[in-house]
Amino acid sequence: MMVAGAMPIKGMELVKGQVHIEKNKIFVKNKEFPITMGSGALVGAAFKTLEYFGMEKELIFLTAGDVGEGEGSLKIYRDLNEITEEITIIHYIKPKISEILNVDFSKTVIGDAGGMYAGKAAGIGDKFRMFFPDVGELAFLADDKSSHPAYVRGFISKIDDLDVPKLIEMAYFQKMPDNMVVKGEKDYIVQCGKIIDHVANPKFEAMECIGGTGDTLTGITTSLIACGFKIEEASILGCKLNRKLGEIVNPKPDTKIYEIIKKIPEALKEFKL
Amino acid sequence: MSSFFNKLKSVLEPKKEFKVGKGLIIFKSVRDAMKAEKILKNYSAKVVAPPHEIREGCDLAVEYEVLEETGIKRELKKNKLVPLKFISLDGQLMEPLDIVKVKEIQGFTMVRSGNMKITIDGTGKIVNISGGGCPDVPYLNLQLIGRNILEINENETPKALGYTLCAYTLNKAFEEAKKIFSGE
Repeated sequence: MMVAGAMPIKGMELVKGQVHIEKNKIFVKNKEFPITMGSGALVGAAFKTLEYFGMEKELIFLTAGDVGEGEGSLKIYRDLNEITEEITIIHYIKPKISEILNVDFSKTVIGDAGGMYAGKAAGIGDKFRMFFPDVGELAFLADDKSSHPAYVRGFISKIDDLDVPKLIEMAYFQKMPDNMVVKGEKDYIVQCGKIIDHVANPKFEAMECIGGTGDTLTGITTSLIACGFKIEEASILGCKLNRKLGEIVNPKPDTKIYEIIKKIPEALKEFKL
Repeated sequence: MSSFFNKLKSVLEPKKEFKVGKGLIIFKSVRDAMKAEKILKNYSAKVVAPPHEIREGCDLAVEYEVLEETGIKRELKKNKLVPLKFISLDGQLMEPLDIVKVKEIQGFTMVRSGNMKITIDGTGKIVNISGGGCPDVPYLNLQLIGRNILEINENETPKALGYTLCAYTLNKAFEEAKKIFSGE
């Protein structure tokens, strides 16, 4: 399983390799990265989940430095022209239509964050296996004219939290992956445009403030898929585990994502997985 | 016969070519447009002929990706190049989302704009930034967390440090949060 996403380090060259985690630091080859929101949180959550199942050596991190200028993202896109791993998540990356079109989709590719934005904007959402939008991002997926969540037409953005099923229906008029988890106050598990289940409890309002809680959901769910769980089962479990983490940590709005990630083994144990 | 009318219709009502995610920067002179292309060499910007309806002569415009608008505007300003306007090539005029919502959670204030959220404690300290998908968001997260929003000057705001629409959207939430804490 591979996580492909940029890290906020200006000028850092492409790094690709096995992951090792100690405390709140990620180590890949001779590089050290913080577990912070974005690709760092995703890698942290994936590692902790895979480690629980003794599969942490399967995790590959493909990254480069990018603070928004796009240079690092470009290096990552180019490396994705050929993918050898069975599952790849394209994560925090500068959305580039011309580059996402050249990604190798012969294996399972999951889109989140910039990877999802690029896939939708390029009109190739159906080449992905799965997306993880929040409600605002779902409005973007539902808007056939939008190329970024910041540009969603007013009438769609006003639907907002009110009518998620309607937005899901609209999104599936576009090219979308077969599977989707819409995260929010209530998490919706979607297959081929139909809501097949939802997870709503327990609720922790503070989780919305914490940068990285969506990344942990993607990391946990995808790792469960990599461990052999069916996509729908992994999706439901991923949502439940993410909420269980809330229960264990009892987060405040100033809780940092690492404090949540380190509790993943405990949550998995409580689910007797 | 019907093909004749179809042809006539296509001539009278030409189909507009939509360019998803693209925009056009209009300058007052060809020279400015060419200068802009040079300045913006690290962006997906290229000189093109502007659409017929806004052409005033042998004009040139610069086509760009709307996603990069924040960085492009900053780069032009830095080089003292003033464009006449930015227009969308999506086939419609789209303004970035302008909805800002404020929520009080356990004594903290969370301000949300579009897909971006910023959370401040009772003293004005930024404690979390969440949302988005562009690579400058984790960078802004590292730069801004732990700092007091009232002590962040103009050249350290998300708009000043970021390059993408996520940074632009975060800036809206940032500005609203700053207003709340400065009592405006």
